[in-house]
Amino acid sequence: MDETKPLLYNVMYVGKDGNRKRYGIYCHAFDRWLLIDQHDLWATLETAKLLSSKIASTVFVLPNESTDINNDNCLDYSIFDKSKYIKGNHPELIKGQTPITRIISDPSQIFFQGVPEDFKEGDALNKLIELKEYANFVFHSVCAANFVSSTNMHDNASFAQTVFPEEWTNLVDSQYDRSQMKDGIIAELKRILYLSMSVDEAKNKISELWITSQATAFSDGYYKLIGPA
Amino acid sequence: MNLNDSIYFMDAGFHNKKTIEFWNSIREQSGEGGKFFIDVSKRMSPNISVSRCSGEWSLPWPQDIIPGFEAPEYDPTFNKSYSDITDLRALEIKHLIQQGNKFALFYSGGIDSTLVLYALLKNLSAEELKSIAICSSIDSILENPNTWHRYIQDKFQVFDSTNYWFDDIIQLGYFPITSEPADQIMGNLMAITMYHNYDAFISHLSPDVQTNLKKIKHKISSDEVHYSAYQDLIVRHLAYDKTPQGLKFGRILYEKYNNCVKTSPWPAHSLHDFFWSSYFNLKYTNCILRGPLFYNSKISKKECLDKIVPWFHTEDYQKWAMVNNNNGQKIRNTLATYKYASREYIHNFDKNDWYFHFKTKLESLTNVRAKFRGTNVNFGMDKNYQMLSIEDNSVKEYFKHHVTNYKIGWIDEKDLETLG
Repeated sequence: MDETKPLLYNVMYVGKDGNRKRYGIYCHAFDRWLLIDQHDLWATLETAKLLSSKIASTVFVLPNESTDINNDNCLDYSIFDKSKYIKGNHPELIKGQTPITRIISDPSQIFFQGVPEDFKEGDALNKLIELKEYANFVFHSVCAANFVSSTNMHDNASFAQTVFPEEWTNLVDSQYDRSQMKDGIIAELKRILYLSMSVDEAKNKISELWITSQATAFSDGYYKLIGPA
Repeated sequence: MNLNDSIYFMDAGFHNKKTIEFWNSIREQSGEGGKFFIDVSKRMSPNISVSRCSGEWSLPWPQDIIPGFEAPEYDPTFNKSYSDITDLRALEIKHLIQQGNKFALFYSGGIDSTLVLYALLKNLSAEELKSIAICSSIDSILENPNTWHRYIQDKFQVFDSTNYWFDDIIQLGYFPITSEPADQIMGNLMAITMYHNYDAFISHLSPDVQTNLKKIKHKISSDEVHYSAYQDLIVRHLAYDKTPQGLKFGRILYEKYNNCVKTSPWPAHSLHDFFWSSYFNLKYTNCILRGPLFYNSKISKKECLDKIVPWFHTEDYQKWAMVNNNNGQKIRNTLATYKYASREYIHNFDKNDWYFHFKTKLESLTNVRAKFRGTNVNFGMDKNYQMLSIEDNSVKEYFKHHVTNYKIGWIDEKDLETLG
C-alpha cells in the first residue's frame, strides 16, 4: 500500500495487490449478480438507480481476486452470507428500492450457484434474460451520456443548484445545456431509461429525444460511444 | 394495576435507554424462564405474541384475546379463490362508500397495498373512487413508479404520510385502510430471511446435517418434506448467536413454536407452513395493533383501532390461508415468488411483468420505527384499551412479578439440562 495515498484508493479502486477492483449489482429477488463492471463504480451505481423502477438491488465493490465471475456469467453467482453486508432490522432483506453501496473484501463470499430457482424456465427465465439485456443497455447509455455531456455541455444549472443556497439563484435563470429540454438532455435521457419497459421502447424514445431536443452534437457522440441505434 | 389482571397485549421492547434498563434489571432477577422470555424479546422484537387459538402457548402474565381477533374455525372445505376474496373485500368498501363513508389507503408501493389499490380500482365506480384518498410518501413513488404514474397521479387526493398519521387522517373524516396483516396470511419475515440466507445458516451445522439440508433446500414449501427435517436450521436461525447458550435458546424457542404449531387446529407440514402457522397465530394481533397504538397520539387507542380497516383481517382471508399451503400460492422457493397469489392478482390488472417477477419485499416501517423507538415508554395495553407505561410503578411491579416467575413448562427439566 502506498502510504501517501488515503485509504479510499484501496477501498474503492485498487486492491493491496495492485489489481483494480470490480463493481457489481446484486439483486435480492433472484439472489444473483445482474451486472459486473471493472471500470466505473459511479456508473454502476447510477445504473442500479435507473433499474430500480424494475428491480431493487445493492451495488458492491468487489475484491479484485474474486473468483471467475464476470458480466457474462454473473447470473450464475450469488453471495454466500448476505447478513454480513446488508444492515437493518432484517439484514437479509433490502432496506429501500433505490440502491446503496457495500463492500465485499472476502472473495469466497461470491460463489457459483447456477440459474436461480424460480427462474429456470418459461416466462420467468425470459424476463430474467430481458432484465440482463436492459441492465447492459442502461449501463452503456449512462457511461456514454455522462462522457458526452462532460465534453459538450456546461451544465451551470445543476452545479449552481448544488453549491448555492436557493435564495442566491431564484431570481436568475440558468441552463442545464443548450438543448430545448426544460430539465436538460441528461435528465430526459435518464428519465427514459428509468421509465421505459423494454430496450426497444427506450431506444425509440431516445431517438425521439434527439429530434425534440435538437442536440445533434450530443446524439452523435452518444451513438459513437454506444454503437449505432 | 393488580397482579391478577389480564391484559390484551405487551411488547417487551428494547426501544430506548429506559426500556433497556428496565428489562435488563428484570433479567438479572429472573430464573431460566424469565431470562428466556427477555431473550426472546431481544431476538424477536417486536415481541407481541398472542395466541389466537387452542395452540399451546404461554406468556408470563394472564392474557386475553381482543374480541374479534380470535382465529376462525378451520374449514378444510373452504374453496373461495384469493382473487374472489379480494374482490369481495373491495365490494365491502364499495358498500360503505355508498353509505356516505370515505377511506384513505396507506399505500407504500409494495405488493400488499398495490393489491388493495387495484382491487378498489377494479371494483369501484369512478364516482365511488372519489371517496378514496391515498396516503403515501416519496418512498412509495420510488417503490412502484409505474403504478403511481398510471393509476394514482392526478387521479386521487394524496396525503403525505410523512406528515399524516392515522389519527390525522381519522380527524379529517376518513377511515384509514392498511395492508395489515398480509405477512401473517402469506408467511413471515423470519421465514423469508432464513430462506434467503439458507447456505450461510447451514454452514454452521455438522457436515452430515449440511448434506441433508442441501438436498431439501428447494422443498421449503412442499408437502414432500416435514418441517422437522429442517429443525437444526430453524434452531440456528432462531438462536441469538452461535454460542452454546445462544443455540440452547434457539432450541427452547423452536420447541415452544413447535408445540404451538402441532396443537393448532389447522394443519402445518412444510417448513413454510411452520413459520406461517406460528406467525399467523401469534403475531397477527401485533400487526393490527401497532398502527392504532403507536402511530397515533391524538385520539383514543380504541377509536383508532375501531376506525382503521386492516384489509386482510377478514374471516375469508384467514380461512384461505389455512387451506392454501404448499400449492405455490404463498411462496414457491425464493423471495421472487413470495405472496404469489397477490402477484397474480396485481399482474392480471396491470400486466407489469417486471413487478410480477422481480418485486422484492423491502423492510417496512424502518423510518417510523426508528422515530417511535426513541421515545416509546408504553409497552402494553390493558383490557380497557389503556396503554401500560414503564413510568407507572404498578405496571413495572406487574411485569417484574410475572416475568421473574415464568417457567419453561414445555420442555422437561431433565431435557433442559441436557440442552445446556
